[in-house]
Amino acid sequence: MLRVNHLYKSYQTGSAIYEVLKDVCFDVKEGEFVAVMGPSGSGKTTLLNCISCFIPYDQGEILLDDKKLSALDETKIAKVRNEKLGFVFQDFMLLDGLTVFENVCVPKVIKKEAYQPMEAKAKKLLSMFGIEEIANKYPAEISGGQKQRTAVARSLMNNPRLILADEPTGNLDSRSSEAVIGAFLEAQKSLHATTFMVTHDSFSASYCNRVIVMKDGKIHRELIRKGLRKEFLEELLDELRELNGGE
Amino acid sequence: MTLNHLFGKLKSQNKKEYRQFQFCIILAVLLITSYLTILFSPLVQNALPEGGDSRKQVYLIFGIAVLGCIVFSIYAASLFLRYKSKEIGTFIALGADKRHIGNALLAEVSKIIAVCSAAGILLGALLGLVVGKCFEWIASKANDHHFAFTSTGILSSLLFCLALYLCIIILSVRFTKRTNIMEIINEQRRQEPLKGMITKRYLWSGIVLTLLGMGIAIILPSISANIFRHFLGSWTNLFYLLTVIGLYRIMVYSIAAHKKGKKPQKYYDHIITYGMLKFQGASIVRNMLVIALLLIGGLFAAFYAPLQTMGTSSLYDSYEAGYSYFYPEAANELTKSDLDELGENYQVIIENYREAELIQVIGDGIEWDANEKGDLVEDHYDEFALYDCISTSGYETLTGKQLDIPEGQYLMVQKIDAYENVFHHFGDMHKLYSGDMQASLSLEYMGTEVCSSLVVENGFGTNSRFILNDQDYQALRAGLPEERFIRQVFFDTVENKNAILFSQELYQEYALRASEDMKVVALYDPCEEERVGKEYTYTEKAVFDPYNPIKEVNWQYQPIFVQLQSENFVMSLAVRFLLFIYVAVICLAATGIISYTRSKNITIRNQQVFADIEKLGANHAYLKSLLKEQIQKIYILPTTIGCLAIFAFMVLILWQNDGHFDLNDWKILVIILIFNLLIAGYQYVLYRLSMKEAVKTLGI
Repeated sequence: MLRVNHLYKSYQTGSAIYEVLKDVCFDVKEGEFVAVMGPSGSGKTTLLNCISCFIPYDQGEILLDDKKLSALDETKIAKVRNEKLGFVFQDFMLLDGLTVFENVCVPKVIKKEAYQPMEAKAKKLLSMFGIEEIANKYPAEISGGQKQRTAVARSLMNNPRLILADEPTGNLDSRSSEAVIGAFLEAQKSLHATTFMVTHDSFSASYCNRVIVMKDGKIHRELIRKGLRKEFLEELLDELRELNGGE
Repeated sequence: MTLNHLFGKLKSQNKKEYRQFQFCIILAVLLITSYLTILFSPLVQNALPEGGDSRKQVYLIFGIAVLGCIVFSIYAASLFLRYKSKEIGTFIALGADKRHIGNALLAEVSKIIAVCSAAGILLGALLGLVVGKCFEWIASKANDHHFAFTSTGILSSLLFCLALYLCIIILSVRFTKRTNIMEIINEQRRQEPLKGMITKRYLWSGIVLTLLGMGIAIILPSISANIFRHFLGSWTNLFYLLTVIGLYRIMVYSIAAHKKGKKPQKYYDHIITYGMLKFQGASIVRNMLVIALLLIGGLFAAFYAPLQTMGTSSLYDSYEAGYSYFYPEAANELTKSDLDELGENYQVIIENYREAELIQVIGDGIEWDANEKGDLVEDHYDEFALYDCISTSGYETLTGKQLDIPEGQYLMVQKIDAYENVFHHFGDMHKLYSGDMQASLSLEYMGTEVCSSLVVENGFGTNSRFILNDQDYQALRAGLPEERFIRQVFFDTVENKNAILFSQELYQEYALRASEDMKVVALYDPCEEERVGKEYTYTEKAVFDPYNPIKEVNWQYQPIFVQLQSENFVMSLAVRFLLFIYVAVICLAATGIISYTRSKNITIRNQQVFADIEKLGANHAYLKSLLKEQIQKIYILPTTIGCLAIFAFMVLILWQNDGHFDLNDWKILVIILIFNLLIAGYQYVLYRLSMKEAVKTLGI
């Protein structure tokens, strides 16, 4: 469903050039819940931003349903973002002037959908993630966990082919984190959603089917969950310990 | 639910951000429009001499005010775009068409500017009308012109709105053209650090550039004209840019350079403030620089009225006679008995009545001017002007002073503090002709004699008056036609409450009796008229009103009635004074808005940092001290630099005038210091207000 081939990305600061992604290749299958982990500066967020078409990349290709994203013009990319991708950001990116309900509706409003199906879908998602009671509240009036669940609900409004989540639990306490991961799992189960999540949090990543570990802009290892989640968590922690030099 | 519905909802929920932007645009247009309507009204245009220094100064200071208004409007626009960045970034990230969102933003910004500009122009025109009518009312005694809206004033206001619109639209287009969505999303959190390592050398180079720029811009033209005899023209003002760069460097240093050095304790005490400021450094320094420039402009405008008044009041003190006037002998002017009779009507006693004869003779002279290339050209003319000359004994009659002038020499009559410059020289006359032009008398310049009451106009060139040895005077006098004899009268009055009424009546009588020969403008010279021919420009009729001595006067035979003139001086220049005061108010208003908005921005942007520091155990007193240190940066340094720069500038100007400082110059410097203190007080009040607001915002 998502294929990343030989992806390169560098940044220039003054005269210095920093290679952030070096020859990154991987696939994500439909319905998969994949996490990307790695130390700070390993290129996780840059990778996610390239897939999201938020930033351009230097070389390589990103294919969504076998279509090259780089070949699309701005209007088509916008359509892909709206209809095929769903986004969840670390700092939620909810619009402060809109209610929870209205925030959830934004992707369909952009798509110019009729009000009735939009309302029905939004209500369904709010109910699915247990936030229907706060539908008329503004972001400033709800907790971090509720904000992120709102963001997850918003990301699912247009039944995207792929949800891209950047540190979705990064700003949350463990209870809220669990609720957000629960929301992704619910989306995977009920809506057959595919999720690609960048995270630092081993606990959240342990719920995934697969974890891509990055180091210095390259894929260091891929870990696949085979047994229980707790065993996978141990495996992830061992991997990270090794990555950090056995600390 | 549509996108437009969501935009509308977002707008209604975020009125504060819109209001700040709208307020700044309205205020900028209002201030500029009100000023332009006044500036281009007949009331002001007729009060500012064409091509005069006052006109140039008022335009220059207004230019700084315009810059200030554009800067705070752009700043408000950039804050608005920052606020919008999250909305725009989110919509684009969620799949909205970037072009559609960009166009919607441009349409929204355009609409805000259009509506606010219209409101600003209307309110500005209204304010201009009120202020203009006030000017008219205050100056009504001295002015026949009225406040009126002119097409130039309105068109200039529209031009300003257009310039503002273009600046903000360019900013908005650049914002929407960004391809990196993460940059748009993160715009609100964007830091503006100052680049590179800032060392002490940076500070010193700033100080050197500041002084060098100012020094060169003021002194270079004078050196070039005096030594190289080349008039450099106004391009030398570009050297002031060095001063602006220098000031910028000083400010950058104050924000960016902090080292442990020899005082590590001090460094650590302020480490949080340094850190907070450093990452907003670039825009803070830009704002500080504009504040300093506005203060310089505002102070310069504020000085105008007191400096003019002071300069003139010292001249009034220097007059040798309370009343002086002159007229051709043939004119039917006031005699001593007429004066006594008039005095009696007002119970005013005439005393020290003196009168003496002057003769008008043609003499040689030099016309100093700059040619098209800017080279100073001195054209010597054998028959340069019709000079007024007085004999040594005649001078003694008038002033009581005995002068010893050898034959073949002369003294030039001058005002107190008169000094030469490239266009005006003492002693340019070397020859005077007899009445029939058949003989001439060679004369040597031996110096100046101060007698302000005898000076006509500026006392230079064709208006020069000379004191001759009695024998030389008699030689020239012989054979002169009747119309070349002038009667000069000096007298005083015993102090009396009716003196002003007497002076007014006297002025009326004197002016009404003026013969047709006397009704010439101040710079008119018949000899020069003959020499120049058709191109001669001073042939128009004199401007004076016998019934209103305060009104604009351009009259060679204008009498000097010291008490009347000193009473009416402020009124006669009221429009000019008010105009300068108003432009100073605009500069100071712009300063206030920039400082206040920037202080607010510092508070809001660092809100999280303050919350974090509080979590680390800082009490409210410590947080307040941190806040104080940051907000003080906006006020203290620009105020200090602005005040010091204008002080240094005025010192250089006063020194450059005549190469030394006299009592009047010192008095001027004291006045400047007083104004600087007033500005410091104004800035302090603004600082207190900003602090109060910031403390409220942070809840500490």
